[in-house]
This record gives sequence, C-alpha cells and structure tokens, in this order.
Amino acid sequence: MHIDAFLVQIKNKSDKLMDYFLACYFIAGLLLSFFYDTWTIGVGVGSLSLIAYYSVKFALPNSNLYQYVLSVVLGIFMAQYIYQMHGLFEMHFIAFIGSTILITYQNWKLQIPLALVVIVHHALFGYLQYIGDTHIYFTQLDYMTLQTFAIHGFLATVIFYICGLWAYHFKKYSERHIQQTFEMGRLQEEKLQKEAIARISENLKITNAQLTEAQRMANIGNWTWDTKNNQVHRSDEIYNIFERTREELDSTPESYLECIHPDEREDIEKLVQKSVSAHEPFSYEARIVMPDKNIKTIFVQGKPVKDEREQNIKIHGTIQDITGRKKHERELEESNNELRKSNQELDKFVYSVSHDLRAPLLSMQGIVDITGEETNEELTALHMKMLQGSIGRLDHFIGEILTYSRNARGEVNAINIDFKQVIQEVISDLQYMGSEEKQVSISVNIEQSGHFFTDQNRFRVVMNNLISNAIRYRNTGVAESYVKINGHSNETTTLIEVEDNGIGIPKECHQKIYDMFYRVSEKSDGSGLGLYIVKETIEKLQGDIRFESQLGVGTKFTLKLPNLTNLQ
Amino acid sequence: MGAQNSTFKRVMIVDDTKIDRYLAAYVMQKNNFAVEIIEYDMAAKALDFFQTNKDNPEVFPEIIILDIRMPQMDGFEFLERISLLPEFINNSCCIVMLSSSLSPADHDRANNNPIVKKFINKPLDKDNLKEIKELYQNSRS
Repeated sequence: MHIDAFLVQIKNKSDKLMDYFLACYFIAGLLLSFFYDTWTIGVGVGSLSLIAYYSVKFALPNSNLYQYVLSVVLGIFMAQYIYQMHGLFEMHFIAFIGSTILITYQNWKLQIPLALVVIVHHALFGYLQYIGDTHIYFTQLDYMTLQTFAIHGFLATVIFYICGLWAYHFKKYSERHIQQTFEMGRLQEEKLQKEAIARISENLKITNAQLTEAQRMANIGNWTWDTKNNQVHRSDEIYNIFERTREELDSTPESYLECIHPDEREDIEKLVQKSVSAHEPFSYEARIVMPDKNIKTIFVQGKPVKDEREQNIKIHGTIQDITGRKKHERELEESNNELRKSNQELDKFVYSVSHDLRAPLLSMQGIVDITGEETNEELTALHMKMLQGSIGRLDHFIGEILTYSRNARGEVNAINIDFKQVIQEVISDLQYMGSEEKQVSISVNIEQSGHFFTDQNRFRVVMNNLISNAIRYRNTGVAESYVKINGHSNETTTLIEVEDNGIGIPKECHQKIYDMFYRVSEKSDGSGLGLYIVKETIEKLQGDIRFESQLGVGTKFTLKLPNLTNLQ
Repeated sequence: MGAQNSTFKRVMIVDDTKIDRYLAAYVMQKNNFAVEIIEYDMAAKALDFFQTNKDNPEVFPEIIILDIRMPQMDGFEFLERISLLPEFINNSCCIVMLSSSLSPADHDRANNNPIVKKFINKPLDKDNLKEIKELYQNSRS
C-alpha cells in the first residue's frame, strides 16, 4: 500500500525525466542526419517512436505498458543511430545508455524488451549486412568473428543484467526503507497512544478519587440498578452511610430494602415500582436501621433510563444521608414551638401583670375620688389606711415581678453558703410581719457538714417566700403558731423542711399552687407569684420541691438542693 | 338613706378585694342605690347564696356587680355555674361585670355572655350607677 504510493511517485518523476530524454534522443537523431543525410530516417523513425510511446502512455494511463514501449523505443533509437552513422561501432553504446536510463523505474523487467530489440536487431542486421545488403548498416567492421560477437553479446548481457539487478535492488531497498519508516511511524503512534491512555487513566483515577471525596463530604452516594439482571452497583459512600460492608449489603435490591425501617418498606417498594413502570423519576425520604439499631434518615432519588442497545431499563440514583439535617429541622421546629409557647405565655403574663398593677391603682383612684367629697374625718383616716394598704400591695407586686425577672434572666452564681446564717437573716427581715396579732415562733435547726455551693440570693428568695407564706397564712385559731425549719446538708445534697401549723391548702388547690398568678385564698392579698417564683428558682438551682398540706392543720414544704460544685 | 328613696332593694357585690367592695358599697350608699348590699369575697359563696335561697327567689338581688379575676372560682366560672340554676333563669337578675382588666379577651367574653348586661371598668362611680339603673329599667319594660 505504502510502497505503491512510493512507486507512483517514482513513476511520475521518471516519466518527467523520460520526456527530456526522449526529446534529446529525437534531437540527437536530427543531428546525426547531417553526417550521411539520413533525414528521412532521423525524422521518420524518431517521430514514429515518440508517437508510439506517447499514444500508449495517454491511451492507457493506468497501465505500465508505455514503459515497456519506452524500453522498445530506446532499443529502436539505438538501431536508428547505428543506421544513421552507418554502423559506427560506438553507436552500439546507446543501448547501454537506454539500459541505465530504465533503472530509474526500479523494474528489472523493463530491461527485457530492450535486450530483445538489441538481440533481434543485431542478429537480423548483422546477418543482412554480411550477406551483402549494402543498404543495411550494422557495423563498420568488414567482418566480425564469432568470438567478437560473443564478447559483444556477453558484455551487453552483463550490462542488461546488472542494470536489471540494480533496478531490482533499488526497488527492494525502497520497499524495505518504506517498510521501516512505516514501522517506525507505527511504533511512534503506538507509543503516543500508550502515553495518552496512561494520562487518561491517571486523570480518571484522580477524578474518581475526587468524586469519592466529594461524595464523602456531601454524604451522597450513587447507585445504578440494572433491572434486567437485578443487580445494583453502589458507590463506596453508600456503604459508609449504611455502615455495612459489600458482603452485608450485597448487590441485590432486596438487601437494600432489608435495611429500610419495616414501617416504610412497603410504601417505598410501591412508589419505586410505580415510577419504574411509568418511566418517571422518583424521590423519597426513608429511615434506615443501622446494624447497631441506630436510625438514620436518607433522601433517595432515582431516574429510570432505557438502554436501547441492551433492551434494558437501568435506574440511576443517589442516596443522601440527611440525618443531621432532619435533626436540625426537628430542633428548629421544637424551638419554634417553644418560642410560640413562650410568646403566648408572655402575652398572658403582660395582661396579668398589667391587671395586677392596675387593680391597686384603680382602688386608690376610687378612694381618692370618694375622699374628695367626704367630710367625716374618721372615714378620711380609714381611707388613708386603705390607700396605704393598696400602695403596699402595689409595691409588693412590683418587687415580686423584679424577683421573678432576676431569677429568670440572671446567671446562677454558686458560692459557699452557710444555710443557718442565711435563714436567720431572712427571719430577721420578716420579724415585723404579723406583729399586730400574736407572734409566730420560728425555730431553725440546720445540720451542715462541709462546704456547700449554691446561689445564695436565689436561696434567700425561696426561704423568704416560704417563711413569709407560713407567717401570712397562720391559723389565728390555734394557741401558738409556729414555723419549724429543719435541715440537713452533706457534700452532695441539702434537704430543708419548712413546716407550719397554719391554715393549710385545700386539696383541690394542690395542683395549682405553683401556677403563675394563682391565688388560693381571697384572704391573700398576695400577687399569685410567690410560689411560682419558688418553683422557678429551685429549678434554676437544679433542685426539687414538694409539699404536704392539710386544711386547718398545716403545711410542710420540703426542698432538696444539689451541691452545684459537684455538677460542674 | 330611706328605703323609699333607694333605686333597688337588694344589690350583690362579688369581689375578692376588700377595698373595692368597700368602694362600691360606699358609692352606692352615697347615691341611694340600694336598700341592702350583700357583699361576697368569693364567687363560691355567692353561688351558695343562690342555692340556699332557690325556693325563696324574692331575696335574690336585682343587680349583681361581679369581678372577673378572683382566686379559685373566677367571674366567668360563676356566670357559667349560675346560668345552670333553673331558679336563676326565671329570675331577671341584672349582672354587671366590674373589672380592671384590660384584656380584650375578657371584654369579649363578658360582652358575648347573654346574661351579662354591661362591662364596667373599675372604679365604680355615680355615672356607672345611673347607667345600670337605665339598663335595668330597659330590660324590664
């Protein structure tokens, strides 16, 4: 194939050369005509030769026949020249010129027609001349020995042979050369291809690694389900998400379904079947059960793709671990709900507070209104006392609101506390309470061993509320009202009881006494915040409060506080 | 304060705040509003009164001045309970709610209750009494 292309090149080049050579041959024939005035031969035979050559060449452009014609034509020119020079011996050399010219075609067979023409010419003309034909010129020798003729023939044969051999060798050499060049080109190309493949596979490897890494970071794995063979191919990340090996989660869709929470399995199967038969994309969220029984939530997407070549439907898809996102969504919803609830509470709180702030004010306004027209001094004095009571109520309420707010917003500041001392301080602040009537006897008995850390101000608020309640709701019917405060504190826990023999709390109110703004009795001019604040404060101190109470007998509150150093 | 001059025979005040009961009673006395004023510091006690006197509806007050925010049973619960008493339905007690509440919910609840004639803001004054009197007379005629 390649050698053919090369030979066509050589042929074209040689053909061009032949045009010059043939022109030279023809002109040489004309020049030789001068010697013996052989114009007829010079022009006639020369022209006929050229016509023969070119007509064949143009008539049969795809054939090499014209080359053989050329070979004959070169032989005929030799004969023509010998004749024109009346047998001049040197003209025989023209045959050798023709022979060497033909080498250019690299075809040893081209030597054959020339050799044949030479042999036929020599034999025929030599014979005709020696039998005495005077118009035939072959040689200027008077006679030729057989030996001379043999040498002549032998040399000619050698020349033709060698020229043929060179033509043959040139062709062989060219073939080999081309073959080698081609082979080298092929090797070069192969090498380039190999390099390209290596480069591509390297890039592929990097891309694959990047894809795996990206899947890892995004917690997304991809899968392909070949429905014909019922085989699923899954990326590494899926095994990470499912916390299973390739053996545990094998390549069947059934093993995947087994991982899904039993409650959701059936629905998912139906959804996927429906989507596949409708040839539509699908997506769903599902809970999956880990080998350690933990639950994860995944988001799955799939898209059926028809493979025309294999007459098959393949489903391509992804699985994303959205456990974290789900958790955040839930937390967000919870905190939204809490926020909504606390907003409602705030609303209620604002109305309650505004009412409770307003009520004493309005009472005071009423008193002021009626007193303006009152002339009775006794009544006026009574009204003043009422005003005082309202002002006290208002002040107390504002104080309670402040305490509540301080507890709700302030940081817990745990310090080493001496319970007995704090309780004594609270009692001495309260000593003028209920002084109009009989005194309430208060006893304190606290056993404290070692350091105990809690928020002193908050503890004071709790004790203040409990003790003042015990005093305020004393039972005026008993001979001696008392409040007994007993406590025991060790390194971890403090238990304090506040027990009184007061009016007690009716059973139906037990559930509600810690509610905000809840007041048990119409006798109380309290804010309805005291015990609410106690409960909230104890929660801040991470403690616990209980109570027992019987109407007309008394009430006992028991509070339990943890040592706040142990919790840090 | 002679009985002939007073507008009503009997008026009931239900309010847990002592000072507000005093105020209401004072204003009524000054304006000859009632011959007799019955005061209750708890809604439950007021309810008891109606139950005890169910066979004796002539002692029922013509006017009830009712507070909203009270411990244990509040004004609304009192309304609910009292409207279940058959003796009370036949009687035409005129109930007026008297409160310092600014809550629109309380106002709506009071105004939407068919047995509540009027919602009055504290403190009770002379003009309020005049209004109550008109309301009572309108409901009678």
